Amino acid sequence: MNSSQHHASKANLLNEVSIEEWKSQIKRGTLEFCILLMIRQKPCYGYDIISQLEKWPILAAKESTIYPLLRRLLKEGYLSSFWQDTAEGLPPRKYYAVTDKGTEYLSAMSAEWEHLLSAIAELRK
Amino acid sequence: MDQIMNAYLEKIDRYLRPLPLSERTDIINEIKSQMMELKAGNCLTSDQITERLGNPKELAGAYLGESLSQSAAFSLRRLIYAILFYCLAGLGGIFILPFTTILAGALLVCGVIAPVSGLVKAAGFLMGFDVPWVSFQFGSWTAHPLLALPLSVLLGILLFLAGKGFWKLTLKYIQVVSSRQRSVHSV
Repeated sequence: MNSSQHHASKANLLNEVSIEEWKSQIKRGTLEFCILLMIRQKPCYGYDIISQLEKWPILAAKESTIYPLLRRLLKEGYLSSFWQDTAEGLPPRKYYAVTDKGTEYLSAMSAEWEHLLSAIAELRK
Repeated sequence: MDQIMNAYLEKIDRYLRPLPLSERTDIINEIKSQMMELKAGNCLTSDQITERLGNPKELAGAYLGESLSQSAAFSLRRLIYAILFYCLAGLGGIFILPFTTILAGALLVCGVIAPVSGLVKAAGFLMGFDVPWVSFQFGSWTAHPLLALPLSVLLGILLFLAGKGFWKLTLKYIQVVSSRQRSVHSV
C-alpha cells in the first residue's frame, strides 16, 4: 500500500467513525418520536416494537435502550400500559398505548419535525 | 424458563433493588416476556438471549438511569437547596438575629428614655434650676431646655418606631426561616 492509499483509507475510517457517531445521535434524538408514532397506530408490546424497528437499521435499538425509554414515557404520562395474556402459551405481554397527553406531545413533535425537514430542504437547494 | 435465564433475571432483580418491589416485579416480568418471545419468535437459545440482552448490570443500570435520573436530579436540587438554606439560616442566626434583636431592644429603651429626659430638662428649667447632666445636643448645637421637650418627644417616637420596626423584622425573619425550614423538609 503506498502512502496516498494509506492516507485515503485512514480518512475513510475516520469518516465511518464520524458517520456512525452521527447516526447514533440521530437515533437517540428520534427514537422517542418513532416509538410514539408506532404505538399510536395500535398498542404494541416491547418485543413487537424492537422487531419492527429492526426493519430499519438506522432505528434498530437494543432492549436496554427501548425498555427504559418505554418506562420513562410511561412515567411521564405519554404512554399507558396493560398486561395481556397470550394464546400461544407465552407469558403475558405488556402492551403500551399512547395517552391523550402523548398524542399532544406527538403532534408538537411532528410540527417540529416538519420545521426541521423544511429547513434542511431549503439548505440543500 | 431455564436456569440460565432465571439466573440472569435474578441478577437483574438484585441490581434493581433501589426500586420499589412492584416496579421491580413489573420490569422482571417484562424482561421475562421479552426472553420468551425471543426464544419462540427468533428461535434463540438461552445463551444467545442473555448475550443479546447484554450484561445484567448494564441492563438494570439503564432502567435505574431512566427512573432515577429525574428523582436524582430532583434530590440533588433538594440537597443544594437544603445546604443553601442552612448556610443562610446559620448566617442569619449569627449576624441578622443578634443585630436586629439588640437594635430593637436598644431603640425601644431609648425611645422611652428620650422623652423622659426631655421632660426632666424642661421641668427643671421651669422650676428654675438647670439639669447639667441632661441636654439636647445635635452636633455642636444645643437646644433650649424648653425646645428640648418637643424635640425629645419627637426623637423618642422616632426611636420607638425604629425599635418596633426592628422587632417586627426579627419576628418576620424567624417566621420566614421556620416556614422555609418546613418546606425544605417537606420537599
